[in-house]
Amino acid sequence: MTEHTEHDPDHADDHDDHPHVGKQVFITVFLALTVLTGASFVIGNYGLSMGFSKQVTWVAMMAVSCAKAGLVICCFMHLWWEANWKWVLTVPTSIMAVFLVIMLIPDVGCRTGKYSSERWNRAATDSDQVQQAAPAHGPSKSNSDTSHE
Amino acid sequence: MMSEHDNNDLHDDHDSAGHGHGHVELVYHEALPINNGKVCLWLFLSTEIMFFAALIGTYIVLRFGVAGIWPAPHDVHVVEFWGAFNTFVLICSSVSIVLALEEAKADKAKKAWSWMAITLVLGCVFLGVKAMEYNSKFNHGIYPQKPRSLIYERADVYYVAAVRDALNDKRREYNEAMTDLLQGRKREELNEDEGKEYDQAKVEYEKYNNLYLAGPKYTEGLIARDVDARKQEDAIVALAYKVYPLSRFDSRVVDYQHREEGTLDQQQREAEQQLDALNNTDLPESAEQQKLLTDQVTAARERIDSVKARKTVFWGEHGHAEGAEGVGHGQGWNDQHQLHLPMYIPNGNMWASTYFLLTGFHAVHVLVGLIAFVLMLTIRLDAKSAGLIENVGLYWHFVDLVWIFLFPLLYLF
Repeated sequence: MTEHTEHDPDHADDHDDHPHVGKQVFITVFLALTVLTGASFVIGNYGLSMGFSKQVTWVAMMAVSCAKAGLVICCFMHLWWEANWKWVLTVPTSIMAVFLVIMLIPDVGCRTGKYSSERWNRAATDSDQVQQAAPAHGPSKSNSDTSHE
Repeated sequence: MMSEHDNNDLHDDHDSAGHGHGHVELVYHEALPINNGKVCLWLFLSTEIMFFAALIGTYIVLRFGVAGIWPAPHDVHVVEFWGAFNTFVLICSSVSIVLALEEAKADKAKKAWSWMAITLVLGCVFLGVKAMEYNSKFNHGIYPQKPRSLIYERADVYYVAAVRDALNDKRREYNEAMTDLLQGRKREELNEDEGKEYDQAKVEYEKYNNLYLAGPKYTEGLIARDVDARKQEDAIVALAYKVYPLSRFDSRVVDYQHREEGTLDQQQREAEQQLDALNNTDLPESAEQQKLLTDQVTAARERIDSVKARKTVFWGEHGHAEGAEGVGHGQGWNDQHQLHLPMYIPNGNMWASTYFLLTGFHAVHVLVGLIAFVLMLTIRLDAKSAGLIENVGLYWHFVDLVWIFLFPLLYLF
């Protein structure tokens, strides 16, 4: 790191290549981020009482988070103004990150779909929840199996 | 033959280049049009993105694939406001480090230093709030693992036994304090200070004794007598909601309360009749049978006490039926009496593991950033160090980025 600062005059041109970004851009982005944070706070706390379903609030909050992430990456991290090298690192990383999550879904996320009623009894959960969940998962599966026979 | 010829050519080239006689000029082309430090930092950030993607992805999958109900934020002492506040703090710090870079590029070292110092302070504020949040969880017995964690995921006999043991320890503590003060004397024989101390200990003892009798003792007696698994579980859940009510309202508890309150008078009558019958029995001759009889009398007395305490302490203070909205942990014995009784929080352990892992790794990243800021403050932040500031800034923006996703996932979902 120190080495590179010594050589920095050589690279001074790099910085001049970028279009100069005014401070007002950063202030605007800052305000936008604050407003978006407030938005997700309101959605998260009052979304249900405003009549939205839980899933809608989840999607809305994730959309807000993605918007905020986009603003931080593009503006604060300067990626919007960088040359094409930015794609070399960000695209493969993003693909890996997204696929990683997708690959987890069948392993962990869908595990309750295969639960037997016996397994539901051992699940870390309320019995009333088991009562509701069991007909949908465990017993209905075994019932349909027996009806096929 | 051809290859040999090629090889010779190559050797010639090599020789001429080696001795500097040829006309081959080596021109260095950079792989990327940015300096090495920035390349390294972006490579590092790439690995970090995948690291946090794995953590957050696993959290999402565990959170939404959970069997049963995920703990509500208030049940595990998560306060939305502080999450939002910390988000705002990190956004401010992102802006301040961007401004530090701008000032450094313009060769205004002093202004850059100020912005860098502001960033450092904001990072410290973030960690301070985080420490306060962790502390409030630890104070309530929410830890990622046993033996410190007081979280029980199921309302079963082990839960009741744990509550019983905890309350028993508490009442025994004050009972021993009383015995120690007396030292074989009577209450009247104590001097004024000792007497005051004794009375205080007695009040405490009676409080915990009542909780002990009304809660776990009664529940265990009921479980022993009633073999209906559904009724047993209702009784345990009622106890769990008395100790630590979840903000999610459980109608089972109110139904159970109405059922039980109707039978308490009869239970008391039965126990009293039993005691009378035992008292009227002739004293048996063998010492063994005498002991058996005294044990039965003690048990009957305890049962009467626990039914009485059940009426006054358990349902008398704050009945579950008060509000259909659910009462929250503030109304529980743990918060009212500053107790550390085991808490029944479905999926609480999974919640604690994921919460502390995610926020912990993020906090470690914040800490590393703060160390970088401190080091930066020791050098002159002029145009020459702009590249360095840019790299530290990129890292800090990434830390902000992770929190942008953690905030809604951990506090608002």
